[in-house]
Amino acid sequence: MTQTAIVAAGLSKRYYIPSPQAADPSAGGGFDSPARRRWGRHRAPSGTWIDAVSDLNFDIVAGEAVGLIGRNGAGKSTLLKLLSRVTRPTAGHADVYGRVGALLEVGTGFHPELTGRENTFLSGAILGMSRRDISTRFDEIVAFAEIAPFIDMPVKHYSSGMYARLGFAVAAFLKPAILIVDEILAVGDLGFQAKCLAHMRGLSRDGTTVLFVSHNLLGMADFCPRAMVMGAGCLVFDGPTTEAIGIYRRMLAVPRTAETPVVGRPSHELTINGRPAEEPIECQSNDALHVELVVDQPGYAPPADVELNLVIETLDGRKAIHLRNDLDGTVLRLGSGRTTLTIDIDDLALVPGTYTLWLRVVRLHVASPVIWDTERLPLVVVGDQRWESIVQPRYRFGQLDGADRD
Amino acid sequence: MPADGTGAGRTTDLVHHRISPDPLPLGVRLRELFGARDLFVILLGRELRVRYKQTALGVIWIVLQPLVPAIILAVVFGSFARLPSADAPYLLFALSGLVLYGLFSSTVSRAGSSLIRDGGLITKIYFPRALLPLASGAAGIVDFLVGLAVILILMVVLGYVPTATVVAIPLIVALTLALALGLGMAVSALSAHYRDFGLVVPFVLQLLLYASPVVYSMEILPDTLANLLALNPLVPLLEAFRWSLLGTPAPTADQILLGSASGLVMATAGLLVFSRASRDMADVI
Repeated sequence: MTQTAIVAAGLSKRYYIPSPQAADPSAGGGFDSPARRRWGRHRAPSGTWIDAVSDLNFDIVAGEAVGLIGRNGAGKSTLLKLLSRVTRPTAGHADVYGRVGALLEVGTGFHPELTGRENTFLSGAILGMSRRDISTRFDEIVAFAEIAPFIDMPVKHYSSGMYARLGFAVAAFLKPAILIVDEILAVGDLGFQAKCLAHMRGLSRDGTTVLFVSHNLLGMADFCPRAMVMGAGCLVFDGPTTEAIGIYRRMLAVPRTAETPVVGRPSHELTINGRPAEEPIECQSNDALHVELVVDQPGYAPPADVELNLVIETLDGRKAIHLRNDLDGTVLRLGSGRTTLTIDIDDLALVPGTYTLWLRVVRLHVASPVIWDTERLPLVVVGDQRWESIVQPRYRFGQLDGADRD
Repeated sequence: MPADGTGAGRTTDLVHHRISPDPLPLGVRLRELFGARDLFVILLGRELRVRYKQTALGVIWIVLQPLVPAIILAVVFGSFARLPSADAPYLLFALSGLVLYGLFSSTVSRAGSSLIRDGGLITKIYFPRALLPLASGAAGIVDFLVGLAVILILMVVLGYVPTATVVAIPLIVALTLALALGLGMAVSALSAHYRDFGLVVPFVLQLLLYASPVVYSMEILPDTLANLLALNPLVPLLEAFRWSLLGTPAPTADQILLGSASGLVMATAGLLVFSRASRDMADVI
């Protein structure tokens, strides 16, 4: 039986960022202007709203290990803070089943003046352990952190490595049902990182749900079969980690620009062989196919390269055809307003049967990578023959010589 | 709080949390607060340990902190100005006032600054926010107990014998703490939004020191002023504390009634302000 661990529905978080003028009292504001705005006397828009996370929808099954990747500022940490209840969403909701252990920084709650022992109890309690839990696991924690000789020394005298090891060790013995880990492993040395990853893999094997942010893509691919890619607060991709890493790498390859893009899905119109896509497409095995996609981006959108995918699948989900412009070096760009993109197939070469056809557009602008799919259209290749195969090239049988020929 | 997330029972009795823009119901928040009592004890321990770490005199500071000002006051007001002190030695009179007022003011200011001091924690992990002002405020009780011991020793030295009325002290202390925590929690949540609130606290506390019978006794005040001061909930608390300890006149019924009414209003308002203003703490601090 699969048990749900996390279900997010339209989860969103907006922050109000006061403008620099409002924050600086010398710039004509005088008395603190956020206060004036709060009391409603001063209604001028003196700041901006930032969508740190917008409209996230996903399900995570108990025991799953999910990686979360994206550039700085993509909304990863905000999502973790929402799920760990550090901050409230402004819209949408998420249902979380099971006790959440959140590790958003290494050494949560450590006080520099206190000893390693005192901090172990302090940090453990803040992370949600009872004093009895910590007492029983104390020796394990110290052994895991490899700092036994220094446990009664104030942590302000610790090296950053020792600090990180103790910090992680406390959290490692938390044993929650859901473990949320932000990019924290970068602090330790390689040996310690490997140890932490191994520990998390062990927790995951034992049934702990793990949601894990890291820039260490290899370590992530190692134990998260699934990954979510975030960009500009949106969920850009959710699927197999290897695919997610590919998309993330392509996002990184596009230089960041200062322009503020329009985030969102543009409207589009799809025609196939000159007919609107509402009608089912009927064709012969070796017909040509002319696909036209008219994209209309309202508002301002800086020109950005797009990756256009055309996918034709059989009804049982096997990919018959997958074409991608960037693989053959064709550059397609989308900007503001109308753009018409075309795909021409000279010879469909499919056996008769029913298929589905759709396009996926990946807009590779880094600040707002957007992936969207067109609707799935039925494609009927007419013909009497029934084949087990998929591809049907133009063919002719013949016999040149041999038995009984004359 | 569930006992533990390990092993068995994970699929059957899972804690369910709905994360949504709506604030948590009061009942849930109170249950969480109660469930986190271990954390309260540990935060209280941290508060006490950190305060006198890396000091040469250590705990002696707790003794010196009320004693030194009391001696100064005794010299200035008791010997030179000869302020009346309700027939008790002025040193004991001033010291008892300072010890109780110290409990109030240190609780308000410590609780008041607690959220800002631990802002780093608030943005990284969820726990009932009220624990921070509660634990740092409650730490003042240790200073108070040491101060009380100093008073009792001085009383014996000066030939004063405490009477049976000392049994009232725990109640007086509990009421003082409740009032101070309510106000301190309000200050803590408000100053997370606007630091102004934290900055204004020292002034208010100083004003309150002079608006309460700490260094003087109520008998020197003209009636109009005494009536005004009756709204100060510290008046009956200080009067009752001296009565139970030194046998000075008990607070009047009017003082008790007015003082408790305004104290109740203040503490409740403080809690309400905290509950409202601590909601989006992590976003503003």
